[in-house]
Order: sequence, then C-alpha cells, then structure tokens
Amino acid sequence: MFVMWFVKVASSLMRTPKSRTEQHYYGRKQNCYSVAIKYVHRALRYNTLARKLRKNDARELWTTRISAGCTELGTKYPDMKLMMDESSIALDRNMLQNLAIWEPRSFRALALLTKSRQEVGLNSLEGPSPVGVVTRGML
Amino acid sequence: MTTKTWSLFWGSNFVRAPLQNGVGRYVQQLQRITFKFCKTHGGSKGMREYIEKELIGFARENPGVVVYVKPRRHRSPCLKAEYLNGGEDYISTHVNTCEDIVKWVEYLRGRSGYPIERLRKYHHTDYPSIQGPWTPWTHRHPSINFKEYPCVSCHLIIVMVDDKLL
Repeated sequence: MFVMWFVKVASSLMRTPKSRTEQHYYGRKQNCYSVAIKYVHRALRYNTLARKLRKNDARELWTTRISAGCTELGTKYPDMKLMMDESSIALDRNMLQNLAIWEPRSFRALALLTKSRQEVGLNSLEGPSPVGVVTRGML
Repeated sequence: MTTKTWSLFWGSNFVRAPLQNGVGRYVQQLQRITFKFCKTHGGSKGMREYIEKELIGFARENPGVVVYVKPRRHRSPCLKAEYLNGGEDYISTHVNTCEDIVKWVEYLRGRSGYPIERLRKYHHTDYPSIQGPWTPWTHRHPSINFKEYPCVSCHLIIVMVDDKLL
C-alpha cells in the first residue's frame, strides 16, 4: 500500500496561510513557498508602481475625450485651455470630460466661448459682443 | 490581515446602497454571529473574557442579531458572521485579547454582506445627467430630420419627417 503522508513534498512547505495575493496563480506559484514568494513580491512592486500609471492613464483618457468633444463642436482643446485660462474658469480634465458626456450643452457653451475668443476676443470693443455668450459684465 | 493586491481575479464593483439602506431608514445587515471557542485552551482566553464581560451587553444593544456561542474542545476561537443578503465572514480570534475581539465584533456589526471588492469610483449617483447624456445627435441641427421629395402629380414638395432622430 502506497502511504502518502510520509512523503515530504515541496508544496507542504507553504509557510504562510494562503496569502490571498497568489491565490489565482498557476501551478507551483500557488502552492510552493519559494517559487511563490518571488511572484508575490513582483505583484506588490507592480501594485505600487501602478498607482502613478493609473493617474497617467486616466488623464490621457480624459484628454482624448475632451479633444473628441471639441473636434465635434469645431474647436480644439488647446484653444479651449487658453480661453479658460483667460476667463479663470477652473475646470480640470475630469470635470470637462464629465461635462462633455453628461452635460453636453454646458460643454457646448464652453466651445462657443472658445470660438468667440478666437474670432473677436472676449474683451474687445471692436465688434458686437458674441452671440449666445452671457458674461454679465464679468469678462 | 495580510497584504493583498487588487487584481482582476477578485473583481471590482461600484459603490452601492441596496434598497437605499441608510438613505431613509437604516436596517442592520448583520443577521447572526457565532462565537466559537475552547473552554480550556489558552488561545481562547480573550474570547472567554469577552463572553463573560461584553457579550450580553452586545446582545442587548443589537436585538436584531442572533448570537450563537459554541464551546468546542481543542478548536481555535473564531467569529463567524452571516448577513441578510447571504454573505458570510470568518475571523480567527486565536490569541486575541478581549479588546481586539470587541473591535472585530464592532467591525462585523457595521458591515453589509457584500464582499470586499475594489471600488471603481468612490461616488455613485442614479441620475448622472441633468441635460441628458450625449448622443450622436445632440449637437446636430434638427433640420437633418427633414428631406424634401418632389411630387410630380400635385406640383408640391412634400416634406417627410424622419422620426428616428427624435
């Protein structure tokens, strides 16, 4: 009779209780301590590095969305940024992309403001004030 | 608790308040809690202390929670909590002091039964849009709804409305 419990197997040397990090790994990486520990350390290292990368990715996504919205309305995102700097409209990329998706008419208002700034200049006295722009004397 | 990285394996979810719990009234989600301990082993000392001193107070303050006490020889002490939505939680209290167990019980008391998942956003709203979300036709002029067709017999131009763009 083959007696299994005398055999000392490497997988029995899994010292820590199932630390959940390697629970979904393949093969020995899940069951054997000295193999698993390397991959667990790598996973934790990636986790710390990814915190910054996640922010970069989100920012890139937001910029893409805002540019797409601007292009649809006939302006460009750099021009919109200039307009917002001049008018001290402090909306960050997160809010702008939310506006573009969920409040498209507000985003359109910003695009129109950008266009008027390019054509006439918001504070210029040369031509009539741009159509559809309500400044209430603040600009 | 051991460190854990968030991975795609464990899934992620949005913040939720099912049945608007807490928005109006709040219903405690903890259904029953089981205290399992050994009467003699040293690892259960904190648990035995808790059962002598704090348990009856806890049971009085939480009449909606069913409390089970299971003395089992040669077993390490643990807490098992079960929630109204069927979720369970297990915490080993081996060689924990009475104060530690008080804190763990308080932690279990306040939880909903949903698993601990990575939250994709820390906010949630059922009504994300006031003006109406963007569609491909939001910024298009409504005149694209119309097409003029010539009518030879009646010398009129009929205007057809394409109503899919409403």
